[in-house]
Amino acid sequence: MNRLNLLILLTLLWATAFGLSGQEVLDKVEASLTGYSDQSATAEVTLGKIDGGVEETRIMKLWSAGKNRRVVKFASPPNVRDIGILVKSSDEMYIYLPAYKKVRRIQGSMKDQNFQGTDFSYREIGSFEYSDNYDSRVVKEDEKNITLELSKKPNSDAFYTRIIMYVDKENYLPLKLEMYVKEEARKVLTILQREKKEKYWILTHIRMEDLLKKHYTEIKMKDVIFDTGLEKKGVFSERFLEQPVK
Amino acid sequence: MDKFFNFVVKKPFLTLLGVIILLVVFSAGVFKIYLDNDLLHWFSKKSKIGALNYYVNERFESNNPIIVMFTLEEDVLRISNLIHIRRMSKEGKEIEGIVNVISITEVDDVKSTSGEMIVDKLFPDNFEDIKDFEGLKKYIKSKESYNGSLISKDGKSTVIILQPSPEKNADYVALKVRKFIDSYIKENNLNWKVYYGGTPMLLNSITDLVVRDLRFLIPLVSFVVFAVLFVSFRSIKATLLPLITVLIGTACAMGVMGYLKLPLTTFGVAIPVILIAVGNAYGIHVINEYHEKKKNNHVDVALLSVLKRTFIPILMSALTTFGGFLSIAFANEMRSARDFGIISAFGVIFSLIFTLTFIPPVLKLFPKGKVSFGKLTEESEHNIFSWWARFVFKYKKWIVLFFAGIAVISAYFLTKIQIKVDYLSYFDKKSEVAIVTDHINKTFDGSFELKLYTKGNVLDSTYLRTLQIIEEELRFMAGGKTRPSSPVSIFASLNEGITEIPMIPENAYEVENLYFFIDGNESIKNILSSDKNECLISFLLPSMESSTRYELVKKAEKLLNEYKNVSIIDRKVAKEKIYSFVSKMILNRMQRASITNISLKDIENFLSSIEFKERFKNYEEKYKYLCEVANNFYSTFGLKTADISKSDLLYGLSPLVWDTFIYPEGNTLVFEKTGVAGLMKLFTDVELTLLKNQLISLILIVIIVVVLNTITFKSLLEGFISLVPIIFTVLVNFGIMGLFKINMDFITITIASIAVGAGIDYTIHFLSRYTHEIENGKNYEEAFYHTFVTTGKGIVFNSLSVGLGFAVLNFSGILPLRSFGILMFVTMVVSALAALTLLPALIIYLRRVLKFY
Repeated sequence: MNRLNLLILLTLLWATAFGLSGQEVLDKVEASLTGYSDQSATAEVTLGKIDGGVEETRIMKLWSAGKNRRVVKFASPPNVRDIGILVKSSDEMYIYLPAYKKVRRIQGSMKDQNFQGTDFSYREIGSFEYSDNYDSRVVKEDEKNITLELSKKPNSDAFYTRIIMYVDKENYLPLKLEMYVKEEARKVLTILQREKKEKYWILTHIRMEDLLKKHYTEIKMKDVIFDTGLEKKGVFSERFLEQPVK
Repeated sequence: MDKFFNFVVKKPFLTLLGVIILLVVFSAGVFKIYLDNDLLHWFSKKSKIGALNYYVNERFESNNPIIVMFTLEEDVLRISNLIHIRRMSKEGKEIEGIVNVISITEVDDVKSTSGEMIVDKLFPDNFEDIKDFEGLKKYIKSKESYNGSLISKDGKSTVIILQPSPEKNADYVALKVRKFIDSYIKENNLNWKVYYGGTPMLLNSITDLVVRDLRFLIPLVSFVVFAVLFVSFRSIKATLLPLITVLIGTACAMGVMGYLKLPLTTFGVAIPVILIAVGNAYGIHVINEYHEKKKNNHVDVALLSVLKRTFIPILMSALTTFGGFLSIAFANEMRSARDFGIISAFGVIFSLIFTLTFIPPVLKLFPKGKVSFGKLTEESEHNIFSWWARFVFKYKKWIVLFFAGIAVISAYFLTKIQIKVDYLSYFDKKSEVAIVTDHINKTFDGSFELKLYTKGNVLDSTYLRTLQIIEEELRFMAGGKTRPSSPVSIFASLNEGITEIPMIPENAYEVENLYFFIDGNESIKNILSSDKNECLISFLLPSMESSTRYELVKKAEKLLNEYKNVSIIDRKVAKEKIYSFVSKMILNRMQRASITNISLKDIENFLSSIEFKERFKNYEEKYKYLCEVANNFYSTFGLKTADISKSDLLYGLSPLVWDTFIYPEGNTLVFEKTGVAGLMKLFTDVELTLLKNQLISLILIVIIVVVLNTITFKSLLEGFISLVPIIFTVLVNFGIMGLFKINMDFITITIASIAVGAGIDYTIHFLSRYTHEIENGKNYEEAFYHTFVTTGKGIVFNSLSVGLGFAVLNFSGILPLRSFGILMFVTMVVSALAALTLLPALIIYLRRVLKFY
């Protein structure tokens, strides 16, 4: 074996022996879920008590592009139909209330409040971005899975102090997330089903449990379409927000 | 029973062993005793008084709040101070048992400015990010939701309100809060004055008083009883025996309390004192009789004779006292009163058992020793009571008239008795607790809650506007200053965020849309149920006179009832009603802002002068109109936005732009269910039931006494006659309460029943001896004198030892217990006096009917 080949082999061995860093794994996870330029979907949202029955089911339409741009519109139940939320950036959010026929920009600390009675916050709904706010390290690795510990960055305004993420090594998709505030586990997000459509992965069925309130929210994603040029169609605009849900 | 008596006398060691076993087994329960002075816990969840309170606490996860007030030497609104308030608020929320914390740094604010709706914490996460701090300060001071609620009007005091979980004992949680705050203040060297208020803190102060009382009063009453007994018997053995008997009986009764998991309350403090005072009587009689019999008999013979002779009288005596306590237990919905009655009844039975099983074996084992009464010889004693007998015999007519006169006067003053239930009545006005509570009441809203519960479709504008009318009317009645915590103000704020007008929207669709902002929000769970069909309005009010509180509660119930069904009337027709309502709303805000030179009439006149528009096309027109009226108001009364914020004024004026107004007692159902709850309601309900409970308990004990005495004396007439001295005593007790303005509360209400149960003893002993003398062949005059000289001393010393024992409660830290102690002393003395004066006089008059001649 010549010296070049030996060097390459040693480098490969080195890389294999030490694996990916936590940040690299996190980047791969985010990339596996946000590789598309835009996405639209219908979400069926079910709310209920963990040790009780189903309370309510809602239908939402979702449009997203990039890290932050999202539109959420309610199709049912009737009392929230046509209410829409437009997120343009982390600091720019708009709401449309059909009863008033008005769009209002919302500022403030709503992003960590629960979104419309669900167990997801405004920040969490339709988003899977953690690298901006968390440092990641690998705490465990076996043949099938990697366990990451995400620690809140010093200047971050993220709500959770720490997140434990279980990742499927085969496709770098998340399996489960446990969210902590200090030492107390607050929420658990479980990915119940995933599908590959075109070249992208979709988390088609997820469940978020709020351990303090003993409440859960399940989201099932349907009719998912990627890369349809939503930006050009003016979806992320106040005008689109005012349009009724079809 | 003879076999039992023989066993006790013949086998003293075995009997004493049995006593020791009983003592060890029962008294071990004392270590299981716990304290609980929460008035709500004194009622079961199913009781009429407790039901809604428990339900509301669980449904809305609310409990009586803990209020921590800080007074600074400088403005609270400085960043350095706000940092501490935030830290204490956040760390306070982490304390186990705390579910919510409200403070000036942790409150949400909704603002609307040119197309933007700002829903944010009043203060950002980083105080350095505040661009216009002075502007924010002015804003806070002008808004009634902050000024007077979270920041004092002078800006130097602030409160942190911590909500305990209904599943925890709020007083234990309050202790943790206090410890945390004290250590935070110390660690950070803050020169802040801290005042702890709210019901849980009051309960802790009451607990401190209870513990202090128990540690101090039990030894004191034991000493007093010891002293009285020693003066009577002049013998250590004769003094110690009844005292030890009653102490072990009390220990066993308190142990039963622990085993039955009954909490120790303020009632409970009185139990050991009462038992020690009352229970020693049985021992006194046994020892008295023993020393009489021992003069001419062998110890065994004397003891057997004593047991046989005294058993029936002391049994009847114990049963009547037992009945007195049980009547309190059965006549009361309050668990604390019931538990008091049951444990005291147990104590009486234990005292009786140990009197029969402890004293005789000890006397058998230690037979030597004599009893003598100091300087007074038997002969001089004889002379005193003979003189007394002659006095009663000679002036019997005047005695009866005198007692009748006292009874009439007492009956008059009975009608003057006030009923009052209030935690603050436990404490002296000069006590720290009273001063702190008063200070918090004057600086902020108050510490005691009045809650209005309603059920229906909360997300309906008619529902919310009806609530608005009710809460403003009630606020007006309470003086206008107090501002309720309610979903009404939240929806009005959210509407302001969208339309710039703080008002309840016109239709349900708009309300539903607004609900979107708060759906699932933690901060509303205390006022709005998650299924949106129940809500709670909470007023924090200061302590007030019972009559004022009663009127307020009654008004709240009346309003809820009247507005269950409403009529929705067009604004054109409802103009006068709208003006009247708006006047009250504005005046409420003026009162809260301490603007007292503007009267209701002034506001009404102002409103009459403005144009009343019949129709508005949209929110923009409404806003324009309201702004014109508001500007007019400011200039007419020389006010600025710093005096009352534009937002608060617009809210007060907002019904002027309602398309319709709501009239009570119509055909449209608004509330499926309503109710009033909270500590204020609890106090009022307890006061109302006190009188009923008093009557029931008195009737019960009177029946018990008549039945028992009829059996004892084999004569119904004697059974009734035996009641006369004690009914007189009860009347005098009530008369004294009315004359000296001693309130009837849940402690003093027990006096009458205990007085009957304990005081009847003297009558029983007198009548029993008199009957015995008649049966032995004496004529009525001889029987009369002989009864006096033989039982007189026993009755006098019995009443003194019992009465002085009760009087020890005058040293209690708890005010109602002091009144209880003094009144019980008086009733014991009066009942003994009546037994030795009124009763004999009546017997002489009725001797032919009673066949006592």
